[in-house]
Parts: sequence; C-alpha cells; structure tokens
Amino acid sequence: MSDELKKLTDDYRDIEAPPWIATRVRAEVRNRPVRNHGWLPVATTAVLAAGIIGLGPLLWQTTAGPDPRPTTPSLTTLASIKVEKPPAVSPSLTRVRTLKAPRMPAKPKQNAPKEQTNSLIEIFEEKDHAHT
Amino acid sequence: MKWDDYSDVELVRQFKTGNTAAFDAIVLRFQDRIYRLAAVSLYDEQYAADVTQEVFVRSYKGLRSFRFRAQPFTWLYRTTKLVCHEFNRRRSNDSLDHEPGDTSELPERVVADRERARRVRLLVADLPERQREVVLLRIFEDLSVKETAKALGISEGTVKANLHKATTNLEAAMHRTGFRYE
Repeated sequence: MSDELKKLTDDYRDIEAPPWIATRVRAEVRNRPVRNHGWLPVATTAVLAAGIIGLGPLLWQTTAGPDPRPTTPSLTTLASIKVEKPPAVSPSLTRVRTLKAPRMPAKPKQNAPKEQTNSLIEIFEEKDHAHT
Repeated sequence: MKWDDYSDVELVRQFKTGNTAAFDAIVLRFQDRIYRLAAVSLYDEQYAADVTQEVFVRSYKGLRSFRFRAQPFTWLYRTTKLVCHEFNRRRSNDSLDHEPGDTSELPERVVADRERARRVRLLVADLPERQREVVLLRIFEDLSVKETAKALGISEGTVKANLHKATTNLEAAMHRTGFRYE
C-alpha cells in the first residue's frame, strides 16, 4: 500500500460519529418496544398442518371425483379380511337327517287290457320270424 | 468483566439473552464504523447520522434473530448499505454534487470530519461499485479477505481481483487529480 493510500485510510478512520448518536438510538429504541413474534411461525405452521390434515381429504375428493373403475383389493387387504359367521345358528346334521319330507303321492296303477298287448307281441314275433 | 472485553459475537449473544446494556455497548462499539460508511456513501453528515441511527434501531430488532453465520459487523454493513440506498432514493431529487455550504457555525470537529469524508469520497466515488465496496471493507475497515467476501456475497478470488484493480485505480486517481497530503 502506498503512503498516500495509507494516509487516505487514516483519514477515513479518523471520521467519528456524533456523540449524541447513542443517546438518540437509546431514546428511539425505548419508543419502539420490540414485540416478541417468535410464536408466529409456530402458530402458522400449526394452523397450516391442521388445515391440510382436516381439509386435505375433502379437497382430494372434490378435485379427483369418484373413480369409475372397480377397485381390485390388494392381497394384503384380502388377507386382513375376517369372514364372520352368520348370526343364525345352522341346524345340526342329525336334525337335517330327521327332517321329514312330505310323502310323495301314490303311484297310479295302470291296468292295461291283456288282449291288446298280446296281439302286439304276436305281431312282433311274426315280424321277427319273417325276417329271420 | 467490562463490555470492552467481550468479543463482537459475545456482545450480540448477551443482547440476545435480553441484556439491554449489551445493546448500548454494541452501539458504542460500532457507531463510528457505521457512521463512516454512511458518510462516504452519502453527501451530508446529517443524513449519515440519521442513517447510523436507523441502522441501530433496526439492529435492535434484527440482532435478536441473529444466527451467527457471519460476523455482527457484516450484518451491520449490509443493513447500512440498505438504509443508505433507501435514503439516496428518498432524496433522489438532490444533486449528487451537492455539498453542504456554510461551515462557519459548525464545531471544528464536524468540519474536520466533513473534510475527511469529502477527500475519501472524492477518490473512492469514481471507482466501480464493487471495487469501492472492497476498498471500504478490506482496506479502510481492515476486514479479512474471507470476511469481505462474506459481507459482499462474492468469492475470495473476486475480492482479491477487485482489490488489485481498485488499488491501481485509486493510485491513478490520486496522480490524475494531483491529490497530495501535505
């Protein structure tokens, strides 16, 4: 650094603030008390988080709409499904076996005329005989 | 333990714990340096005093959330630069060549300071802004290259390059203007 530059530096460093600055700053600071706003970011974050958690699903539903495709459950979902027994007690097997079915109606008896049948048999017999 | 024994960082730490006496110590420690920066940037010692006051009023609030990523003076320098810009914008109608006229009523000390500030400003004003800032911080305020780089948000290499150019330009300006100390 040259001598001239050094002197210039000394000149700069010799500049002093007016002595009343500190007093004025003190008075000004007293008039403007600092409010503690440290809680503000925490509160904002909490409100935003609550909003996202509370309104998020609703917003998602309105924007996405109902999905028209049938959803196929995953294997894990299927595995977690518990099949519950029906509340009504099923009848025991012995009871099922003893259940009485209504009787079938009696088979009607058919008395076919003897002559007619005989004649038919005879015809058949004749035909057979004829072919042989 | 006197406040003079505290480092800059320790002073701010004390202030952050709620010790308002530490703030008075901060003002007393930095007021000259802030005032000098303002006096060289502005063209009126009254404005420089107003800027200094405003910087400390803002720092009363701002230093409470200071996170010690840089030196307190670096933070104060940035605030001073910002406030100087605001003051310059407010009085943009004033001529930049405006210098206070009659000094007969002013105390001797004020007149001497004004003359010093004028001399420094005369030589530094022609430098490009980045070079001027490097001269103010590295040469006049005696900050390290690292601290200067941090204060200006540039690399250390850029500081060194600008410092070299600025020194050359300053000496050339002294020769050109015939500036000589008796």
